[in-house]
Amino acid sequence: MMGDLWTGAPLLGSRAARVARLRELLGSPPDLRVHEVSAAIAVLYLTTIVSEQKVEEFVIPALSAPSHTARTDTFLRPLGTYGDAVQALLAGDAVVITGDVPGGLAAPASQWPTRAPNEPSAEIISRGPHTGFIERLDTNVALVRMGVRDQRLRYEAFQASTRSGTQGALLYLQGLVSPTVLGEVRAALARSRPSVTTDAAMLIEHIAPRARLFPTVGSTERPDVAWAAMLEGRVILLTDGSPTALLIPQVFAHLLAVPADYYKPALAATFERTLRLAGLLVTLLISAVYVAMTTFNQELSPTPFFLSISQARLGVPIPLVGEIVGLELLVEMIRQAGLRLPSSFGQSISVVGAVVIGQSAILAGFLSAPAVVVVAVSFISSFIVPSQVTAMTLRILRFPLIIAAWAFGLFGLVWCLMLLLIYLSSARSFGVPYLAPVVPLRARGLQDTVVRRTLTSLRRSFVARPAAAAQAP
Amino acid sequence: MNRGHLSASQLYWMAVLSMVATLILMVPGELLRLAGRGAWWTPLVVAIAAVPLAFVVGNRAGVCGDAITLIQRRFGRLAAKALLIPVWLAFALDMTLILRETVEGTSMTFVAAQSLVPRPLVTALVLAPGVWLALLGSVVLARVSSVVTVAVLGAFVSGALVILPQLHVLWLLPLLPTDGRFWRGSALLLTALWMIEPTLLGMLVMHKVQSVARRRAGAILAAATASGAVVLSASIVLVISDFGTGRAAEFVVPLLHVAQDLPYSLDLEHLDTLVVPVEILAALGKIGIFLWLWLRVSEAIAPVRAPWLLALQVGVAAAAGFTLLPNIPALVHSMYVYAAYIVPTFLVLMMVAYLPSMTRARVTAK
Repeated sequence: MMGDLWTGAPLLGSRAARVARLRELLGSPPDLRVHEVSAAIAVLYLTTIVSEQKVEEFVIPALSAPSHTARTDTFLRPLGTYGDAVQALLAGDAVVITGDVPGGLAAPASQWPTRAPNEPSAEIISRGPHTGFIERLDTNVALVRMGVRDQRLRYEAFQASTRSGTQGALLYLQGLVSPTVLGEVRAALARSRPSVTTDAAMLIEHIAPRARLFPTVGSTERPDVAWAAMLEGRVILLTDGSPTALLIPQVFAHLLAVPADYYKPALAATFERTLRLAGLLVTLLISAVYVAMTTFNQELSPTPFFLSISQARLGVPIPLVGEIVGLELLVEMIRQAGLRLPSSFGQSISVVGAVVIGQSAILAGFLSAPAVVVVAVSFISSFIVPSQVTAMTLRILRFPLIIAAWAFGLFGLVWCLMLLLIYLSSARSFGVPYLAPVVPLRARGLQDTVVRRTLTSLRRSFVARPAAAAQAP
Repeated sequence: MNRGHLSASQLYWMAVLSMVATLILMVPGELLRLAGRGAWWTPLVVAIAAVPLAFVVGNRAGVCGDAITLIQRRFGRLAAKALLIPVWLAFALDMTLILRETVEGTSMTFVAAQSLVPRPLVTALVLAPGVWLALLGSVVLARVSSVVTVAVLGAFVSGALVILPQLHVLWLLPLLPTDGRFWRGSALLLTALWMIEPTLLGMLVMHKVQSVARRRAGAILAAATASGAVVLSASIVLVISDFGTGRAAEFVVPLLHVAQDLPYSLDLEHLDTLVVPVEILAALGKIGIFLWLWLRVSEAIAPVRAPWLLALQVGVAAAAGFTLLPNIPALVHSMYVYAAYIVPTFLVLMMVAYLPSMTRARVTAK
């Protein structure tokens, strides 16, 4: 509390008093070093986040020069308040307190823990660039600049959190990005005031609070995806401490695409995207259709198929809908268990899951084989969908669909699909209709949705602003 | 939510969805009763006049949208609003019909499945997406319409393609006109009324497209729409003339029985079960369209901005219509049958006259 009162106070007083006050404000941490350069000059820094080599080689020689104050504009940044000084220390700067000069100076000398930009484990591809974003904002911006060497690239800084002081970067290609999208992103960033942002993904809920079902903000850890997105006219958001880049806008068609699509022949990419779309539909619908066909619309099944299911269900004590819902929940539990456990235990979980569910439960007569097959197909299909957030949404949506199919048959299923269609049709991602370019139809965008045309014939994306792009230098 | 901005294509999809469902309602059966087994020639005869009419009138359709404005200017605001009352009634009637069809069809599904669901619950289920759509506004409604229309057309085209190889040309011989009844004035008039809807739709599209850029493209689109409707109408009458008269469901079922009665490698005996959900989807979307139109017209007649009040107004009117209609025997026979094609025709006429002036400043072409 006392510290809060001091943060706005001007950095005045004797050198010793200012140093003592700063030490007090930080709670006298053991890694705070006060380097007495001379009787009049002291340099403060946190040894854990500052390179002492930089301090010795650059900061102190600059201070020792007779006219060091003249270099303020280029190297040393003036500090007016105790709050500024504390923030500079926490940001990895060396703070210079000079006895005869009021205020202080900050010199950049940070040395944050970092790692090599290795390929992200969640987005591994066999062909293409094998780099990934890391937890350093400046490195990530550098990675973006490395791939998009365009004079129209604009970099705007913003504060991603109020309490943790996380910095963020908004990057886009001027002239290519839609002004509507850019305006909405800026407004959302200005509106949102998250207190803590430990990862860029946490920003999503603040800038797109109405995106409850399907993601309206994309994310990636791959610079090549970010490059492609920028060239498509999308906005990139990066935050310090996070390897995740947010891509705005994100529409339904983006959910089917993966970066590897562009590193293989168009025909193969189209085939795989079709499979992903089929996987999406299978994940969403197969369990509900099975329930509707076996409990309500039995006439829909061919007789041999229906007899086979009936025979398999003989003696099963659980109602079919309970069987399917229970199995779905069980599979989700096994999946969660697999995520939490170390990889060495993962195999055990698979064996137990397969033996217990796949074999023992059927032999014991608790479950029927067709139900296990249906749920297994549904589960495997969910992993075909590239976006994990979307896959999770689909898994959640399966349950109301199953209940509707059980209660009202195909009518219930259609009713739910109608509601889903209305929702998707009304959703927008920062001004862009979520079902674009299919609904509303924009022929220009169709060349890269389910069907991917050859790279030579691909034109500008539907989220870009062609007119502005044409006027741009 | 944006309630007023409609592009030409969005308006087109809304109208097409409205038209598709109306085309398969009752008219073929009634036409067959009037014109005999040769009825399927009638749409072709009428089309000879309809297509060029669409082309010519479409080229000169620019003044249609100002009808209400002109009336208001000449006779005052009250007269213009009085003229809109029949439109309001037309919306109500048509929506009630569709609601009834959907709820009855759904109820029959439950009866067939030996599980009775209370009628109010079914009505609520049917109305819920429509009300949500109407409240979301015209743009969302148009987007949903475009998806649903493609789904409905896809289902019918797929069904037709499956059945097509099984049809034998010789079967068409008994359908050739032998008594000349299809030349009767009532049959031609009925078909003309039937055909005028897509024709006017073409004009409507033309009117919108014209504001974008190319007059000629709009006229061609109008003619193409009318031509497509001719083919669809002829094929519907063709099938019904051989397999019985009736309404939408009675049209679909005999169509699929063709495949059922024939040797065929695929198991198609219950294909109708697959088609009916798509029809329900279309009906749910169409209810939304009518609710939205009703809201717009209600706003014009008595400007009330509160959405909940309008929703309540629509709900009460729909429920009243739903309860009242089957209890009036005269209406059951005459209005119920004739409203299916007269009301939509009148409706589209008024849409041509009213919608552009209503949204004249706001209809934006993308």
